[in-house]
Amino acid sequence: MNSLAALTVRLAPIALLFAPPIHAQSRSLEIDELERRVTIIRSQLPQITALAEKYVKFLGRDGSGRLLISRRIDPAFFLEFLGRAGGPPDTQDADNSGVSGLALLPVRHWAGNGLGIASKVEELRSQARPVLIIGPANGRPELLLSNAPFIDNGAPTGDRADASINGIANMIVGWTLYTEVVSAATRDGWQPGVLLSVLMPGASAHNARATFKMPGVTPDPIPGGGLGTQYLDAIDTILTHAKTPVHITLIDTVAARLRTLRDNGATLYAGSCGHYLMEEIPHDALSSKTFSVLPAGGSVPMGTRASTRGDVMVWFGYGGYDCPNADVSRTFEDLGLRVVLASDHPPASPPSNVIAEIPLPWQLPDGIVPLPFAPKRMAPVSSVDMALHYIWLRRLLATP
Amino acid sequence: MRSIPLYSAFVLLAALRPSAAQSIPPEIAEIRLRVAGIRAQMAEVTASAEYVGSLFTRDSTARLMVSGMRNPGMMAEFAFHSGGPPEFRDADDLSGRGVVIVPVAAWETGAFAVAALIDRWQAVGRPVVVIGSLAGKPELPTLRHLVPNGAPDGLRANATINEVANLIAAWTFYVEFVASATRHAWQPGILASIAVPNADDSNARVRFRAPGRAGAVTPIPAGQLGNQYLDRIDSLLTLAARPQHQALLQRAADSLRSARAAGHRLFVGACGNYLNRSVVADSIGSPFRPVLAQYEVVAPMLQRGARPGDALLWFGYYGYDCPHLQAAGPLQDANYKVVAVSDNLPPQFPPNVLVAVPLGWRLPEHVADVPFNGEGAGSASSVDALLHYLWLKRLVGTP
Repeated sequence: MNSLAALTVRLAPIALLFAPPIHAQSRSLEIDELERRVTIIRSQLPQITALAEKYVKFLGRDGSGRLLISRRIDPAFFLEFLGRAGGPPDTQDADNSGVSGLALLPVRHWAGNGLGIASKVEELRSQARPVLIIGPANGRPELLLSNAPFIDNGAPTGDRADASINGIANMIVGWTLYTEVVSAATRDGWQPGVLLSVLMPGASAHNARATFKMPGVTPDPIPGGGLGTQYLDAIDTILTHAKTPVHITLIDTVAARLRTLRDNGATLYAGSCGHYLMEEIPHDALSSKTFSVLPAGGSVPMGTRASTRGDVMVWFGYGGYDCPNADVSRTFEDLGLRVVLASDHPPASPPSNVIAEIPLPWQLPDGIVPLPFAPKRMAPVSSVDMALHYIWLRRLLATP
Repeated sequence: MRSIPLYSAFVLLAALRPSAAQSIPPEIAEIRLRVAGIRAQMAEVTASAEYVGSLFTRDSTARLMVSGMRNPGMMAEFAFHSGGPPEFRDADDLSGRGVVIVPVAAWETGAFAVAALIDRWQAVGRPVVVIGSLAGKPELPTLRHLVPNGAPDGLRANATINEVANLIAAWTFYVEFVASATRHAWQPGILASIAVPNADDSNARVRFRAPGRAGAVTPIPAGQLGNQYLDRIDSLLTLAARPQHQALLQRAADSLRSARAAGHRLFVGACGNYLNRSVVADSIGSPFRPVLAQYEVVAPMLQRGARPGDALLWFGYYGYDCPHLQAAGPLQDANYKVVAVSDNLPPQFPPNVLVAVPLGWRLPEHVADVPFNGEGAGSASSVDALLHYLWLKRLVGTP
């Protein structure tokens, strides 16, 4: 990409942020679909609240206070809830049979999966661990799973083709459920611990003290449905920002540039330091050929340098380009990678190898739902926003 | 210990003949333009200040706030700063009421963020005052209060220098808010400088809204304190633009470049409010590895891979050693070279100090005169330090 072309991408006409589109644009099918999913999830809020109330007594018992997520079934969902700011302390792998807790089974598709999920449900129940399934209601094998507590992610089918967007919808359900667990706990007379971002002062001390059930604290009760509604409202807001005409034009333009570079021989890499995408992208690369991955995100062995020069990294940053947990900008420059940077906070002076930037609508602090007790906010939206942009670009760049 | 003749202004005056042709550094020239821009748009500043003053008159629990996570430098600047407000709040803490200040350095890259943040804060009943350029501002229907930073456009090419402009605009807005409060017959509390006797005691007692008899406060006209503040900034820019000072900056940069050429790494750290936090986030394309020097300076350098002989660009406050952090002894013991930039520099330095650059500001700052506070209101120290940081960053450059 020449500098003028790069500048064209960078200089998205912000003055048109809320102006109608001048040229015909592609729609973001992913945004439309996620908006539809949010509507379906919102319609289930009474059931989600009821499920949270059902399980909160179990979660309040000594030794049972934690969420369990099967890492094998969805490693990205597991990582999203592992040590996550605005999320629960002590999330553990449901595949470890020695730990008690409420097991969440996020199912992206039923095709080829139904028997395995039914078997996992039986296994968890036999270990006296309650199970809650999140997945598509359509296509669910009723005979096997009709008794299992369930929240619909709104998918039109149970097919494998929707797996990626179902992963995001499951994540939205997961966070909505967690907000309702928190409010149900207050109505049950105990205060859940919520982790604080490492970017905040005092986070280390707060997080070291945080337990799923905070001992000796009786909070004021929070009404059911309120926190879940606020979380879904926040998701709707970032979707609204993401579908502004100028943003859609920007994504189209970036995708066109990347196609041109790929046609000229460049390999397209993708990577992220955010929780969900950090696992999702490498696993996605097993089946999708659109993006390749570098080992360990950016910690690439020296021997790889020659092979990446002139290639392009689509990097999903967190809190900026260099993330709190990954100092990647120098590494990418050393590797000779050109970079498309998708981030909530673009740097003031990007290095010359950054050929395009995609500002993400979510903003720090990530926890979006206010709480009446420490750390005062919970439930992040960043992974939903980053994953949306990842699958959006992946569709636009898919080879015929 | 040895004295550093190069540092001494007297020696410099004798040794360096100012060149008539010496140009003004671009940072100073650009900030001068921004100051003139803010001055020309003072009516916009006072309008936003009046809105906040009026709002706070009706709601005694409301406070000024900034997102510490999103704007750590600005949060550190106002959280506990002499000449500034007590009880300044972190907007990320959702308890408490008030007005959120959202700085934007370039609309080109910041418009999305501002739109999202206005949505977020106003949804929880917190009005937003944005600090940014009038030029290039997109039509954001929810943006109602803008404090202009005097920038000629909203392009990201100016984002770095606009960071300084935003800091100047924020203090101008604050002193105008103080004036607005007096026109509403109440007196804002103002923190005292550490150089004032019994500052700790008085700062522990001062409140955002000083208790007092209604009507006992002399009203301050709009624009008066803001223009005084900008006058002080102009004075600091004049001091910084002196040929001798420019030559000293060049010498400091050369010493750092030499250290780098000899295979050493360059670091930067600060103990002053704004730079202490803001340098940490400046990791992209910088010649320096930033270190967060909260209570000590050597340990964070070691964590970032410093080795003996490496060089640190150090911004002190109220001296080389800061009131809350000892720098000189530990840096010498660890055998790090230092370029020390600060007000109130000592007459002698340990041998590891390559160059010492005196800043123009002085404690107590007295930036804008208020009749009810002998020390005045407003602060210019961080503006001076940030200007020198950007200036040295450019002069050192990347290889």
